[in-house]
Amino acid sequence: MAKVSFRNVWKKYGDIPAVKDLNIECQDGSFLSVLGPSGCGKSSTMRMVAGLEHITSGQILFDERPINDLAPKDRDVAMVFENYALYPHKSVYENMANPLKLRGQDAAVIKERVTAAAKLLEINHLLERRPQELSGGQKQRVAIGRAIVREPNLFLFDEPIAHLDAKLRAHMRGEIKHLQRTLGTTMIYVTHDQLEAMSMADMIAVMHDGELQQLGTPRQVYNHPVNAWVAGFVGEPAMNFVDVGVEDRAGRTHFTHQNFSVAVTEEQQRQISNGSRESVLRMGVRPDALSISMTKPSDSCITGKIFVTELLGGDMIVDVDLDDCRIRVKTSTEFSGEEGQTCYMTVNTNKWHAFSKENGKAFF
Amino acid sequence: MTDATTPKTSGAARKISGSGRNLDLFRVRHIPDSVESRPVPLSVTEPSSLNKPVSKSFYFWLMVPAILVLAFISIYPFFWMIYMSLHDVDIGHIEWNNFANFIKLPSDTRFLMGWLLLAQYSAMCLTLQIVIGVFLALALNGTRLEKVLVTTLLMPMMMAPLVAGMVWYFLYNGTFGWYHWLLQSLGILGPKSILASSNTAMIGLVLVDVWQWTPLITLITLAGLKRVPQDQLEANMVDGASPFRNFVSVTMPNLYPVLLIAIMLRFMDNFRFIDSILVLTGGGPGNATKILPVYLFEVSFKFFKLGRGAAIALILLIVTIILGKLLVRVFDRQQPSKV
Repeated sequence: MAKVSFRNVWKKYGDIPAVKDLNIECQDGSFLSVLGPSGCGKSSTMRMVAGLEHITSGQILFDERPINDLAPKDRDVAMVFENYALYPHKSVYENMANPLKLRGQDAAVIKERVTAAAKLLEINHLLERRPQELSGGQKQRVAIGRAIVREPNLFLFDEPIAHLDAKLRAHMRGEIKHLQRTLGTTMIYVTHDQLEAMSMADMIAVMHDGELQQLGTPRQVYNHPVNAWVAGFVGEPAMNFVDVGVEDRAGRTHFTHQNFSVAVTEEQQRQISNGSRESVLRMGVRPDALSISMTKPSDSCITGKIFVTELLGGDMIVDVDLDDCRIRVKTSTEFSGEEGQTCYMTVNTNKWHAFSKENGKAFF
Repeated sequence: MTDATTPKTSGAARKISGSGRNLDLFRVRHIPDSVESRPVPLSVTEPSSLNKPVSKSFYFWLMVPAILVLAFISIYPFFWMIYMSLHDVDIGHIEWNNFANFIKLPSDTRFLMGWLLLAQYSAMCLTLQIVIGVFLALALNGTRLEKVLVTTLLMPMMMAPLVAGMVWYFLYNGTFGWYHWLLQSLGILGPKSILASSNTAMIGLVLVDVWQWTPLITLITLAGLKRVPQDQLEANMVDGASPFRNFVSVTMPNLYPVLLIAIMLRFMDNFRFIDSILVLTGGGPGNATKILPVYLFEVSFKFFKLGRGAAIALILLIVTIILGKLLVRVFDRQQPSKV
């Protein structure tokens, strides 16, 4: 087990930077998820930790010990690859035994460890099979099994469940989280799926264009995104963004739009005036911070027209057209609006966000 | 869903969805409206030439020219060879001889020696070619000049074996051969040419074959190396493998199939390419390099014993087929399926 630190880590391919000045501290035993869209540098980050990729500059430290120049085999990490990377000519048992064998363990120890890991992952009936005789989920378990048979400093999971179907993915999310808690080993988990990151990690590092956008707990990242990009990337359905004017009315700042004018709270007013004097801001509201009704509740509500409704079983997503944009609202299945009808939405002002139009930075 | 039911279903779905919100689920959402309501033409006016099954006999007639050519140049000579092997063949005179051609072979020492020498020759060629070829491929793989170097490397292969034989004949020549001079200067050789001594002539031939055909092995191995899964190599590295261990446990299993193909190609070539040998030694000195195909050539076209030659050829062919089959079987077993 180890604490992993990134100190000013850069990765460049030729002149093109893939990871820019990365600084992360990942505490011993914690579950860090590196989240970002494809091409954001998250995989490069992980491969640098594994030693599969040279670190252009900066340092990666395990327990304050730089590992930049160590070969992959000397770093004592275990990695699970996106496409499993099982050895097709070896049986499941041999696949899982490989890391122990390479480290010169006794056959008896290997057998004991592999059996224990197989039991934990419920694949003990598959040990004699070859990888090609397994389903995707089973292959994934074998790949994870190969990682956990020895007790490494660190687990590296590179989108391990991206290729599984949705149901199995949801199942494996829980299993991997439980596994990490049981073993207590530090884990770095790379994913592009914000749901995976949110549901599993202790800490999320959101990356975009090679830069770390935000490092925080899932709650922090979800409730207090530092910029519009993080706000838009995290959360499903995605946050609604509406460009609003900033106006002072009777000493209180209002966000104004053709369809509405809503006052901010006192706290938020202070945060805006400290931040900037932009006359147009980007308001961000999550679909669940809006409540929708067919009757007008008050004057400070948003008026719109229903574009379409989507029933998702347990709840319903309503797409509403404002004059210049479309926003999505999450509501209960009892909602009875029809397409084309006018509807009214109130914002939970404790849960909304305002971002700078210029640099996307969050005011609140 | 068939064409006939589509409009009906969607019509019903629209009616239901109109009557109440919560029946919205029944709506067939994934079919765009334009498709649903498109009128289905009653008469089928599709172009008739497309997708119409063509009768089998049509394909047969398409193949007839190829079959005829093949029959003429390959199948007919094959049966003619079998026929000859069972007869005494002289010009203008063919006579059945009760398998005498075959019966005499086991007591023909040069026939037996031919096999032994062929085995030696082929084994030496294959070993050297595989070792050097794989080594070169590993050295070249992924280097910046890979393409240029591979192209350069392939040049010997482009040469006609006969020409290659000529070139090496001059290089080996005892009076003015450059390689001869080099080998002599290094003290490896005496004044006699490498081809002139029965101890070394075979090595001289092997060197020519290795020079000409190692590039093929390199090329095939390079292709094999390209399909070694990168992620397995990486996984093995993280698992704790040294580069050498990684090569043995991941790269090699992926190379076996291509190497088997290479071995098969090369051993078959060794069994039939004698151009350079004829030019270089003609089977000599003495009978030191008279491998079976050379002996076969001699029997048939120097002594003109066509019947006996045909018998030898038939046996050579059968052995080649059996060895080929064995290799294919090994190949099938080695072939790793995809993950």
